[in-house]
Amino acid sequence: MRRGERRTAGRGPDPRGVVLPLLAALLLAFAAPGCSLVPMGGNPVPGEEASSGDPLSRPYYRKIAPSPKPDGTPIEILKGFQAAMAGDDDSRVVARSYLTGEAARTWNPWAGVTVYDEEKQIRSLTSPEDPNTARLVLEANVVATVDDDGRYRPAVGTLEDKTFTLVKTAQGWRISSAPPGLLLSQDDFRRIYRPLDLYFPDQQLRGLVVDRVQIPVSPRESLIKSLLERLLQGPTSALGGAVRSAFPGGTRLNRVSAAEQGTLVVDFSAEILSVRGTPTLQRAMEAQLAWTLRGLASGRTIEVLVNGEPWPGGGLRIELDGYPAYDPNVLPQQPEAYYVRDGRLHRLSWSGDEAVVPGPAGERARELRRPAISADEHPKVATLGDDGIYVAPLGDGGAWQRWIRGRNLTPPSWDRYGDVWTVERGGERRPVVLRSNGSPPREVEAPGLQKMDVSALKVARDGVRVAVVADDGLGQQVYVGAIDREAGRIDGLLALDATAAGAEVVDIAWQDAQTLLVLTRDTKENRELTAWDVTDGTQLTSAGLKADSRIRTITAAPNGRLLAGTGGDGEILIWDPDKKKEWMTLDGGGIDTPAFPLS
Amino acid sequence: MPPSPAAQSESAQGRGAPGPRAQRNGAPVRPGAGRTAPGRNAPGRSKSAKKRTRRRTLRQIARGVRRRARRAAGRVRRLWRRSLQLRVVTSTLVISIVVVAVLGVFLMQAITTTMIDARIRAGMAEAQANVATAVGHLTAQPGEAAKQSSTRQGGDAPEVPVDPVEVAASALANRGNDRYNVIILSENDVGKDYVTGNIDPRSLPARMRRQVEKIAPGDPPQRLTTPLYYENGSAPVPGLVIGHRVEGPPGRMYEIYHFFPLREEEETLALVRQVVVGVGAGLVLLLAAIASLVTRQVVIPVRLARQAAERLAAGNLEERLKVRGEDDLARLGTSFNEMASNLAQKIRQLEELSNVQRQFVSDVSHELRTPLTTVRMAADLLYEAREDFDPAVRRSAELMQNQLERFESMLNDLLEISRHDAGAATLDVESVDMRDVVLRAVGDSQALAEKYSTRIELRLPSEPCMAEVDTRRVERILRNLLFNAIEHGEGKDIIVTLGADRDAVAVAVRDHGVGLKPGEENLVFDRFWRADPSRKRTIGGTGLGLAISREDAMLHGGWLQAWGAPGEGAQFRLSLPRVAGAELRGSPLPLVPPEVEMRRTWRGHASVTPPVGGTGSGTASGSGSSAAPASGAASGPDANPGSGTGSAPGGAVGAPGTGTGNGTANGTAKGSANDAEAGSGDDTGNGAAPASRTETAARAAAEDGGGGDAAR
Repeated sequence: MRRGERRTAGRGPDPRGVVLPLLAALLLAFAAPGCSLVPMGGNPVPGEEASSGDPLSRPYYRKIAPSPKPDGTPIEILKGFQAAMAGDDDSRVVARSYLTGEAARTWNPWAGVTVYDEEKQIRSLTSPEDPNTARLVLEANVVATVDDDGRYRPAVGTLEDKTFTLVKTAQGWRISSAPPGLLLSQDDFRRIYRPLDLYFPDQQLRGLVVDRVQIPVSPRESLIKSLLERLLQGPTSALGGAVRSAFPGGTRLNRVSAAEQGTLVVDFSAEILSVRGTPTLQRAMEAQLAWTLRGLASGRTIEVLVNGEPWPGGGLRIELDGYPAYDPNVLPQQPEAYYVRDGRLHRLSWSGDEAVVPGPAGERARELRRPAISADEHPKVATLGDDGIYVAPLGDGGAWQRWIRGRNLTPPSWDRYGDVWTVERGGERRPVVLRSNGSPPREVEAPGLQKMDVSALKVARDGVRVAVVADDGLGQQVYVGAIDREAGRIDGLLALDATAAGAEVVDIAWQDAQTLLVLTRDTKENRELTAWDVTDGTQLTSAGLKADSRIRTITAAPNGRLLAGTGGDGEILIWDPDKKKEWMTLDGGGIDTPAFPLS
Repeated sequence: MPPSPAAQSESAQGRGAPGPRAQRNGAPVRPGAGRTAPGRNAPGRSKSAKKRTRRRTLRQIARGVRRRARRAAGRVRRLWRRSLQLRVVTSTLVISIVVVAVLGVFLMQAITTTMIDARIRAGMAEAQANVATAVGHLTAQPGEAAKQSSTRQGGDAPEVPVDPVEVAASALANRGNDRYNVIILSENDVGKDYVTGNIDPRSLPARMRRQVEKIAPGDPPQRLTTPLYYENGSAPVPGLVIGHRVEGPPGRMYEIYHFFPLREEEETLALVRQVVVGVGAGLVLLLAAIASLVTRQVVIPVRLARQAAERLAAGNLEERLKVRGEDDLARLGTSFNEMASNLAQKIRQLEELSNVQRQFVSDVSHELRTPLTTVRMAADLLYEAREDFDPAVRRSAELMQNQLERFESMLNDLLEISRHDAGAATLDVESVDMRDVVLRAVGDSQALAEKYSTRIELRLPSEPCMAEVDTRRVERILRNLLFNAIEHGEGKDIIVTLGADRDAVAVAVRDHGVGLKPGEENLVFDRFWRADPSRKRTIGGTGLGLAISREDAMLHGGWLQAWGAPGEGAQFRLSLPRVAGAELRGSPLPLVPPEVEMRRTWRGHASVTPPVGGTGSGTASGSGSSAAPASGAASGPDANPGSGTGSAPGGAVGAPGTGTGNGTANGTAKGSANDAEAGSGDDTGNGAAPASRTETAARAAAEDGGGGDAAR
């Protein structure tokens, strides 16, 4: 008997003998519900951060472009047309379906964007004698316009009428005439467009200049790709000829893709290779790419390919933080400030230590009025004298020199290239903008300042933008323009909406390359300090700046620290955004006119 | 040696032989003849092959392919039948594949259902929460959200939109991020439809929308799994759509659709499937390998046992199995070994017994000889003086003399056969012309033949037919055969044919007596066997003649075979190698007489042509020339077998050789078919073989002619 059993068990080739253990194992697996499959226990370990998603693909939403509603009323058709203009319809095919054949051919959706705010009404001008025609007027406050190159221009809230003519066709009401360009509400605009900064090197290729553009978000194309394509198109009209692009003309973008950990691969066409001849140009191009992509691809490394091949000579990898020399703000993060105490120029370090500067400025040789400090290797100080602008080095052995002769000059302003700028105020005559680097001053054309009374001119730290306070007879305005050094002129002057009616601009100061601080005083001596983003002319309210009634002059460092002089009170107020959003008095007496370099 | 396989192989060889022989004879050979010769082993196929010429290459190729496939199938089938291991492994494979496949399918279904269900539940929960949020936004007053924005966000951050639908869309976009997408449709307003992320709105099927439009707010949502399309043009992914219908401000209805991509689930399922398939395949292979291994362990001892049994069967009585262990196979080996030793013992005993008997016979014969000689001498004296006796005594003396002679010859035969049994018989070979041997034997039998009034016909080749044989023994064989034929020939003609080819010579003795019953072909060679025990012994054969003849033939390395059929007579054929000691592969003469074979094929063909003139003319010419059996050697008709006119007189003169069939074929068929002539000429009267080549009529004529001529 036993032998018989053994024989059965030992019969290997019997398939039952192989399958039976399998079934037994399965049964065992089902019959053991007690033991858990999830491993438990162990020590707590830090959890990985959930990937918050690429900045490339920030969450967004779109409006669905609706097709014309069948049997819709004229107003419904118009609303549908508005929605179609605001919808995710790159080629505006849906929007065109609201138009009659003739209008669909002639309507140009690319002729800029008009942004209106929400308060609007649609007036109907339907003429009773023609039931097949309707005229609708869309009445709205225009908030801004966007040029076709992406430049945002705030409008001053003017009420505009946009008239649409509708006719009845076989399909229902259709629009037979519509104003060119897109008409978007503010919500639509914010949803569709992202403001992004482009960077372009100045004419000397020494630094970069910010240029803000509005880039539409497309679900079909990554934002980075849109941004780079826009970068290759060159600067907006706000900068114009004042900057150049380091990318050779005709360069095209083939592809942008995220490669393995932390690398962004950017593939350009072969035209880009012509920058290899000029090392400074190539360096500027790399800086341009790095700074432009800083916002969207932070923490990544850019690898540049040319038509899918690595950059000749071992590839080109760009670290986004590898080009600090091109910082548009020029200044270090914690620059020293200067002020005048008892007629001597003092240096105030970031931590609060102060000392008299060496050289003539520390010797009470001249009265120091509205001193300005340069930021080159051997800093100089410029001051406004009665008969001109005097400049002295901040070092031993120098002497005051008069660089610009003239009366009735605006306070001096340094640019990053070592030129000192001022405007000779001509009263009724046209103002003359002068710059000098020690040699006889040169006149800079400023066609936008004709017949204006210029009270201040400050060159931004990037050396390209310039802010001018001028009075055109209707009141003081702050204008921002760009300096085309090679042509010797200031272009693209555009007024900021910084002054209320009747207000007077007390002082302006550059905080960083794109932020301008404006101190105003109205007729009731109420002072107001506002920060403006000069790239798109909008006010920055996030800083939460407040004015103090004692403030006469202001100066600012790029990281937000402000110093204010109080004139006769002999005190300096400090605003430190890192500590407290309050003006604090810096101890000491008899001090005035603080100044950061290039402020 | 069992004669039947030898006979078979002989007959096959006999048919195949004429090809080369014809060439040697210098006969013009048709180009096709040599090529088709191998095909004659299978008559049916060779026939068709000959009819279809080489032009039909396509058909031949197809046939070749078919043949090869058949052969391969045959090989596989053979392997399947022969290999136990293959069968076991195959069945294990099949069963385990089925089991693993069923298990895998169930497993995959269970995993799929669980995963998708979990995803659907999670999606429903998330969609429900989102819908609550969205309803909160939708029912808020326009602008209310914007007021809250100052507290929530900084000034330059994007402001909260005014439109509540847009607020809801924005909130859901932020919450969904890239995990899922939402579409919000306003039923009452134009241009307030929003979609988050980069999903293409056409991912929302129309039937889903129709279904959702029917449900009331607050009812459970609808869900659907459907492909999702994205705006970046990538391939659609499977996804889950959940549709809610909600009411914002009174009277305003909104539809909110959530789109959950199931890409990760699909990837996971693909991975799981890959793993299941891989593991299943591995398991199946493993099982097959295990089965193979286990079978191998069993099959190898069985194979060893089989080989040992085969060797034992072949006579190697010392073969034994190695016994290892105590399992079943070991016990099998032990039993096998016991059986083998028992068998060997028994066989040895039998051999000893047989030897004792033979020795006894030999001794008895020897011992009987001496008294017999004395008795013989005395009897001779009595016989010579018989004239002086009275008739009764004389008759006794004569009788005694007769029986003494018989006794003596019987004793001689006994001695001879006991010599063969003892292996003491030796060959005394010399090169002789077999025709002389045959003639001598015939001459010896002439007296007996005349006594029985039997005619002996001779068909001898025209050329000398040299062979290395022991003349005495061969003559004795022939004599025995002739006596046997005369005794059983009932006075009818006896035909003695001598044939030769390159390697062998053969003598066939044909009688037309009662013949042999089926099965008697082998019995005739047994000692003291009689066809009819009641028959009277007419010539007083000892009953040992054929047995001794066979022993003699085997001593030469030749064959002695018999054929017979009731009423047809019998034929004995002696085939010997030309060179002593050479192995005999075939015989130049057929064992079955050609006319009988031909008649058989005729019956098979059911031909319309009656066998008229063939036999008749054949016998006529044969009887005419029977008086000069050996005279035709000079004419050499085989030199011109193709020319019918030339060979016909040659045949008439009586050349008994190879060309004779040709002549008569021409005579009967009147030169109708050259093909037939050439064919039969090649085959030199070997009537059965050429049957395949041409049309029935011509072939019949040729064969008839051959048969008839052979009868001469």
